[in-house]
Amino acid sequence: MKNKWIASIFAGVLAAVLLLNVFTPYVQISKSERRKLAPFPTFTVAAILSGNYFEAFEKYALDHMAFRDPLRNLKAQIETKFFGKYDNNLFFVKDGYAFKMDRDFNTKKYTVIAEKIEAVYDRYLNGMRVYHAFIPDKNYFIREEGKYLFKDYDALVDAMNAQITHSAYIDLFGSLTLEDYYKSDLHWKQDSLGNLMKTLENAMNFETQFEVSDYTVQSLSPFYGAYHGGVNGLVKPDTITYLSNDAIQSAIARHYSENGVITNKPVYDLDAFDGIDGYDVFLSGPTPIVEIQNPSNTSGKSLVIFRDSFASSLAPLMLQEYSTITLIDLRYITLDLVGAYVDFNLQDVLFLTTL
Amino acid sequence: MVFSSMTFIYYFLPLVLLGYFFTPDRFKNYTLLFASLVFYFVGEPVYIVLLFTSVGINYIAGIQIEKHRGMPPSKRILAIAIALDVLMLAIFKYFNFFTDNMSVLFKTDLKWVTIALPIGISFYTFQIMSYIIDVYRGEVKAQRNIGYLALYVSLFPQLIAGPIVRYKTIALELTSRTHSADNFAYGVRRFTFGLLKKLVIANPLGALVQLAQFADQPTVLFYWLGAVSFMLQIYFDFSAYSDMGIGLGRMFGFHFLENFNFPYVSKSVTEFWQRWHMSLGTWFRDYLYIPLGGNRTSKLKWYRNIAIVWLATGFWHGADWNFILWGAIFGVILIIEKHVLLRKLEKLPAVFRHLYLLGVILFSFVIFNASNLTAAVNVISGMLGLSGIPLVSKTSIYYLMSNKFLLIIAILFSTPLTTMAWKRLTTGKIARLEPVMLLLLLIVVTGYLVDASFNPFLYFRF
Repeated sequence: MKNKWIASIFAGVLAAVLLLNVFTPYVQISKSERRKLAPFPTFTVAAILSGNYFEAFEKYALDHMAFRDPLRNLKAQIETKFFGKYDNNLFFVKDGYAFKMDRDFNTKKYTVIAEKIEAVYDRYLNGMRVYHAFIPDKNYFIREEGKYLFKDYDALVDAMNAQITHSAYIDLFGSLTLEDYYKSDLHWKQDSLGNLMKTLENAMNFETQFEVSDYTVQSLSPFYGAYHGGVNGLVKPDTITYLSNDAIQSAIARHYSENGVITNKPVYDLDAFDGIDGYDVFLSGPTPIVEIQNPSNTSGKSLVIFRDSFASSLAPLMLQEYSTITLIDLRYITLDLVGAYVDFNLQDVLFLTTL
Repeated sequence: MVFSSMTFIYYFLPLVLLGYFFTPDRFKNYTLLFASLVFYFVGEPVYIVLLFTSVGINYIAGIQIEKHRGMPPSKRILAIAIALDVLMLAIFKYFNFFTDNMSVLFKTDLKWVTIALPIGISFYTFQIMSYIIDVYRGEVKAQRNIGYLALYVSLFPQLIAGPIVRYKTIALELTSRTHSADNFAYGVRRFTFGLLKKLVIANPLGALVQLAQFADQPTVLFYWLGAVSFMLQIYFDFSAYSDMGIGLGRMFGFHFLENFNFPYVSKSVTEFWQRWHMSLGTWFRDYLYIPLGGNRTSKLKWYRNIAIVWLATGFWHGADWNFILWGAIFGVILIIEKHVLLRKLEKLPAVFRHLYLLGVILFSFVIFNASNLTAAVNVISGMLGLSGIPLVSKTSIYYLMSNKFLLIIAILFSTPLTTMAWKRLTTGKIARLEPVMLLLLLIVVTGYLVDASFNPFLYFRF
């Protein structure tokens, strides 16, 4: 009798899953994994004979498996709780926060950044007020936790600062805490940047002062951060809270593409929240150059930020001080081309990079 | 297609089971043949032609051998069939090795063409050779139905990674086999456990092997971690596939012989090879070693026979010098054991004999896994602390500690303890819960499957 049950359950499960997989509506994007799911492969003779069709079908089948997220969650639970693994594909959860371990401790990766800063200065910034700051990643705040692998942040900062000779260093490490970051994402929360803004105000001699109470707090949820898929749902999704006021709402973000096309978008691109990465609500996500024009500020002061994605949520808060903020991401544009789009002339310059 | 894939488990298998069990008995073999050819076609859409060729040649040869039984032509036909089988294997598996070495020898580039290795060619070639030899020996009748012979060769549960099924073990079942809930349930158990061994144990061990092999900062610990993990990974990977093959075969009423019998509990290399990849070992014994004279000959010829068998065993595993060396080492050790060492080992406590065996196997698999001989020497030097590298690093300690339970569980699972525990569990008071437990295991392995994008079997390259 027991064997009949085993046979029936097995056959039944296989049949049920097949039907579920075939008849479940097709989904293009996984919000929890923040990526496009594999499409159903195109049937061609060439694809069949090369074997590509079947490889693509397997990717499709994996991506569109019924109950994919709960199954991945189950695997993460077993890996961490049963097998006691410290990480699951480099991701781990501590105190309700998701982290990603950095296994690559090659300091050269970071000193190259210092070299780049010096190269930019030599090329475009001679005589200008230049600052640089390093943003600690979330791992910095649990570095005393002996179990995991961490960078030597102090050694990295010292090594980079030793190479950067034309820029004033702004120490942001003491201005942030773990609670200032999203639980499921690597980024900081915009509404938690009060202390950081004060540090920047003092170091860069701002005339204005940032106060959260001067802004309207708006929120968007659920926000599945970059680490949410990596920890297989072991951390709940976040809520993106963004700060708005009349100045930000009237500001225009001009996005420059390499073919010279300029696209105007709002500072907070609410449509982008429904895309693959909800964090793209801030300045529409990765872009080589974006210039924020703030008609509410007539001081004429300008700021150039050489940046990564963290600056996207910081820059709107700095509009109180500047008429124009230009954000340049050197991962998406070569140094030589920057000069074709940006006039470097008496702006404040801030290099902001994450460690 | 591999067994541990979404396509196989939740698309191919349910459709095949549905088609098979709803087909009238007299057509079931053709349904299974069709399914097996589709299975192979998915992985080898072009080289499926070789499979047909192999079946065709040996089908004709088998009938002709039987027709001319007892007369000189039958031996000639056998020789021709085997020569063609070996030639096909030589061309598609060893041609690149041959041209690479000729290029080095003659200091010129003789690699005018590179031939891809068809999946499973080593397995199905050895199977079809066992068939034709057994026909010649009169141990089986030639199969007159080419479809049935094709089914024997291409039967998907064992086609691409074994076990190497002898025709005589399933000849009767080709025409008359029992389909029952007991058989099916047995198959489900073996298949599910095979998936568990592959996805939950072998694959994570494989990830650890990769980490250790490509660590930015090599350490002695990393080398040992990599070596131990690989030794466990290859066992779980290969035995898992055999479990799944045996389980799938049983669902369709076929009884395949066991291929692994907890080889890591062995106390000598002799015993190890009686427990590891048994279908290959017995194949070489019955079709090469014994025909050469085995041990019923002069001592010198006996050594020659062992050398030939073990060089062939190594070479079967891979077309590279490290595999040949790997086989040769076992040949030498087996000779030493047979002559001297076994008697001495028997006097030692069991724990030392286990340690001896595990040490030999560990280092042999380092050679097996290396990309070439130089790499093998580097790894062994690293393990012995002769490379001037640090003993440990933060990273190597991290990965040891993070994976300690995986390693412990893998070691336990490689012994009969877990099988005994499962048996006790499922025949005791909670026996009636076994269907639920198997269902939960299936859900768990599915979780591992969807979380990984690709998990090829190690023995695929054979």
